[in-house]
Amino acid sequence: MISWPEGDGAFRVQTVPEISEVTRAAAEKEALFRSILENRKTVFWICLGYARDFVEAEELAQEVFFKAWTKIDSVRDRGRHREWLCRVARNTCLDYQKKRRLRRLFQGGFTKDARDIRTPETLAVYRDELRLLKSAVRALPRKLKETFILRGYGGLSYREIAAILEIKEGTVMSRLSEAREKIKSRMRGRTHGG
Amino acid sequence: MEPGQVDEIQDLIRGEKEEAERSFEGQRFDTQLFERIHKSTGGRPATWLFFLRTPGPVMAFSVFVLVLAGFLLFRTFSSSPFQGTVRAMSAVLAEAGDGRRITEQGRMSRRIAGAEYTEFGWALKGVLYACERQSLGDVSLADALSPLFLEKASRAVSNQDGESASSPRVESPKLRTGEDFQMFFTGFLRKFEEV
Repeated sequence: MISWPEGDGAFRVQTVPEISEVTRAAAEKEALFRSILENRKTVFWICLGYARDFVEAEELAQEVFFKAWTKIDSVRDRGRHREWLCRVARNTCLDYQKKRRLRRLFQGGFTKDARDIRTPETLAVYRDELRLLKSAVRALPRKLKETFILRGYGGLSYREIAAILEIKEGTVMSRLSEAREKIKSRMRGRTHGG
Repeated sequence: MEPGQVDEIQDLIRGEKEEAERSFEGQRFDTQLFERIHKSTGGRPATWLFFLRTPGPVMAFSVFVLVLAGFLLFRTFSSSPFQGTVRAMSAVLAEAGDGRRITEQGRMSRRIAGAEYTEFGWALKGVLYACERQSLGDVSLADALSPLFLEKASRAVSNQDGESASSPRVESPKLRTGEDFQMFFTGFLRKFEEV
C-alpha cells in the first residue's frame, strides 16, 4: 500500500547530496507539505463547519490538501504556512458552496438531502439540535459564517483569524458575537416554530 | 447573549467534532491524498521521491552509476595497440598543423550533423586531407580511401622495393611535406592491415 512514510523523509533524501538541486528542492517541498499536513485535523474541522456532514468534510479536506500541494510554491512565509493553509481551506469551502448552490439551482432545488437517505445509525448522529445549528450556520452571511467556522470549528485564535481574513482582531470579535446572536435567534425561532 | 446559549452551541459543535473524529482516519486520509497527488502528477515526482526514500533502489542505482562510470573511464583511458596507433597518428598530424584544423572541423560537423565518425575515421580523414589538400567532410571514408589505397599503396610498394622495409621517416614526427605524409599514410595503412 502506498502511504506517506513515517519520519523525516527529507533527511533521508539529503543523504544522497550529489543527486541534484532539483531533488533537494523537491525534498524541501515535501518537507513543507509534511508540516502542512500536520494541520489535517484543523482543516477537517473547518471543512466540517462548511459541509453538511463528516463525509463531505473529508472530501473537502482532501480537496484542500490537494490544492495546497499544487499551490505550495506560493507559500511565501514558511513559518506561517498554517494561516496560508486555512486561507486555502476557506477559499476551497467557499468555492464548494457556490458549486453546491449552482447544482441545486440547476436541479430545481428538489434534490433530496444526503442525510435523508442515510442509515438509522447515521441519522442518529445528526440530532435535531445539531441539524438546527448547521442550518443556522449555513444561513449566516458569508463574513460572519467564515469567522464563526474558523473560530468555532477550526479552533483558531483571534490573531490567526484576523490574519487569514485580513481584518482586525476587534472585527473578529464583533463578527463572532454577531454570528452567535444570529445562530441563537435562528435556532430559537426554529425550535419555537417547530 | 446568554452564556448558556453559547455553551450549547459549543457543546453541539464539540459533539459533532467527536462524531466526525471517530470516522476520520489520518492514515487513510493521507493514503487517499497521496494517491490523488500521485495520479495528478502522472507518478513522476512522487515516484522519484519514493525511489529515493527506499534504500534498496538507492543502492542499486548507486552501484549502476559506479559501474557505468567505471566502464566509461576504462573505455576512455585504456588503449589497445590499435587505438594507440590512431592516437599517435592524430598527435603527429596535430603537430604538423593540418590535422588540428580538420579534427576540430570534424568534431564540429559531428556535433552539427550528428554523424557518427570515430576517432579513427577522423584521423584517417586528417591524413587524407593532408595528402590531397581538399575537404573530405561530406565524402564517405570508404569512397575517399579506396582510390588512394589503390594508387598510393601501389606506389609505396614500388618505393619499398628500392629502399629498406621500414622507413625511419614514417616514425618521424616532423612531417612537413606531401611526400612525408604519403609515406606516413602508407606506413599507417600497412599497420592497419596488420591489425
